Amino acid sequence: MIKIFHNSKINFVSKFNKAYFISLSLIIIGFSFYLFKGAEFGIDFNGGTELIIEFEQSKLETNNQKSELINLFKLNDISFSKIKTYGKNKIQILSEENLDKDFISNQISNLNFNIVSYNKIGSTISKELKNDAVKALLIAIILIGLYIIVRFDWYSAVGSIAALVHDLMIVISILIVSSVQFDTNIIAALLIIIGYSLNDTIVIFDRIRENINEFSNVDLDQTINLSLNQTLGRTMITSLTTLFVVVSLFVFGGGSLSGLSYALIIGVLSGTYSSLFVATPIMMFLRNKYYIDENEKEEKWQ
Amino acid sequence: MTEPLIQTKGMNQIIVEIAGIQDTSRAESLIKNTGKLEFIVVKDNINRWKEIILLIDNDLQNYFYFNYNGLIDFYELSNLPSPPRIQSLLVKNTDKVKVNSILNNNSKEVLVNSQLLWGKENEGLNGFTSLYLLNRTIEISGNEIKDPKAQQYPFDDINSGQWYISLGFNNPYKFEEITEDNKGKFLAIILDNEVKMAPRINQKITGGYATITGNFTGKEAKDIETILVAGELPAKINIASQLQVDASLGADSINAGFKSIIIAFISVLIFMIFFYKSFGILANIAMVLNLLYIIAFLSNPWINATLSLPGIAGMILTVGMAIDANVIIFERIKEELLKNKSFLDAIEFGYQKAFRTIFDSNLTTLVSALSLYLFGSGAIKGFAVTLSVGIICSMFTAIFITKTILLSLFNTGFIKKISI
Repeated sequence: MIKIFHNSKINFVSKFNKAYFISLSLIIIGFSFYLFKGAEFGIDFNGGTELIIEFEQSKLETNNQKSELINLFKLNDISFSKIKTYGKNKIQILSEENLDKDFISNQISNLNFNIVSYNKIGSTISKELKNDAVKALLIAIILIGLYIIVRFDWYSAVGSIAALVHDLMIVISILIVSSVQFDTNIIAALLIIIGYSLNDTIVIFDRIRENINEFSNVDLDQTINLSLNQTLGRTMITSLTTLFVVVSLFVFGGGSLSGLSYALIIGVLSGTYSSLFVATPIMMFLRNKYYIDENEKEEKWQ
Repeated sequence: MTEPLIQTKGMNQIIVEIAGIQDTSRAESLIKNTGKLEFIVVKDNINRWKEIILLIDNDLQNYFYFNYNGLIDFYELSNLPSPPRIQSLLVKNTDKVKVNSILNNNSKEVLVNSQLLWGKENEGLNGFTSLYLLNRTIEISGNEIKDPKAQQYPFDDINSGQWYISLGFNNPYKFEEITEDNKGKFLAIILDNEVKMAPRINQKITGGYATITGNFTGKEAKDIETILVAGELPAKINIASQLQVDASLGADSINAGFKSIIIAFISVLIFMIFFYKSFGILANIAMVLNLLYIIAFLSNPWINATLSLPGIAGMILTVGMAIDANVIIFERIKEELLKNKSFLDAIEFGYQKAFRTIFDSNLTTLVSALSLYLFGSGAIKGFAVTLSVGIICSMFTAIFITKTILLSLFNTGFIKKISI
């Protein structure tokens, strides 16, 4: 039997104050980057054209290929907002305008370039995508909150949702800082992160709920420390295996998966951290503050 | 073309996916061309044209050519003769945009009871396009025709090998009447707001059949036939988004993605065996079954899911949660064993206590998946479907299947103790 963290007696509660500080400063750094730099939205959100151009690998360095393309585009008055390498021998070009595929295809065919992907999105559909995504997420969060209130209590609901929002903000901040472009893949990643963060938090809250029932005369601080230590083995094993998966997606997944898997790596780390150091402290704080004031008979911890 | 995959999206959008075509513009024109067919009589009055030309631009006047009676002639505006009947005006291709913008802005009053439509590029005069002045009244529309057919003239004919479209009229007498009333005038045949041809009506046409020749290629003629057979669409279609993925990119990213998922999966399998010994094997069986269930579910025509990236994302989360469920159970069993419970008791208690944890965490995720399905669209919906299916499958495999295997191993007396 391999036992990790069994009999661990880490005093998590004493570290909660430091944790607040770390989370807040990370988010503030991220958002100041957002204010000064702005997020980069892909054409999924802004409308426009995305071209992925492939070239023969042997010919030249990617950077030379890139400058060759830039010259060609300037020469032909084709406007583009961004040009960057994409995987081994491909270049991605983004433009806010509708580029004509055939025209560009003709222009670059002499240079042994080849368009491998052409993606054009009108501004109506991109606006819709943005609104739909935000609306669906908000409703999902509200329903999750209601479910947790029914099964647990409102302190846990606030705690889990705070952790979830924290994870989203951390991931978005770090994506902005690392200039990752926001597109449908990132939406997919954010959805996974919400699921992961929530799952991780609920497992811990479940143990706290159980222990509060079992040791009703013990201090909340101690019960929480006990619960976090009891679940620590599971927390570590699960996040490690999940990290295996997302790191191998990042390393072996190629250009089209890199944004998604990068976001997931941050999300898994943040999700694990936030269950321990965001969800639990907030839940504890609320329970300490409001539980006594409420009707003593109220027995929600079943 | 291959059979396209067509899905509705939201209130007024349709997603059309066609695998394996190279010529996207042909697909686009087939989709966009609603097949609106009209027969309209041409206004051949020279005075009307004078007003329009004055309106367009004085600088342009030298470039104007009129097509009348099949002959193209060039006139200066100040010196216009009165040609018998004007079929169309020829405009330099480079001036088309300019003419369009002027016509859109100020032509309202001049164009009472009439309309201007572009035709094809002129064959006789290079670099010019015909502009037609037409009545507003539509004499015959697409729903009054039958049996459209793309055909080719025999090679010994005067039109050797040329493609044309033949069609019949539901009411032959109506066509007869129209041709009689407008004898000597031109009758424009318009497909999707472009004048395909405007032949002169020399005499009353009986028999209820007509042909459209318009210098079509065989492909074009067949496409037009398809559009006419399908009939006029009740609404105009705008292409809101177009995505073309080259097979090589698709294959490339599928390969890389697939490779990375396999590597991830195998490393998780090895980790579980290393960490949980025989229980790890059990968890792995559950996980493989889980994946098979999800794939089987999604292949079900009732669910009709296309596996896209967000869908794969949903699967990754599901696999992660399935592993987590097993980890929760096994860690619980370990805890119970440490309390010196018997092996069978530890399993019983472990599963029992872990069940509530897994139930709550999975159900919370299911709640979020369902609301994403109800209120999200497109990609988000795909994610929600795979996730919901995945959660249900993983609860079943992680809890029911592993426990059943474990207990039957004990009950048959096959094994007394399994290493964890």
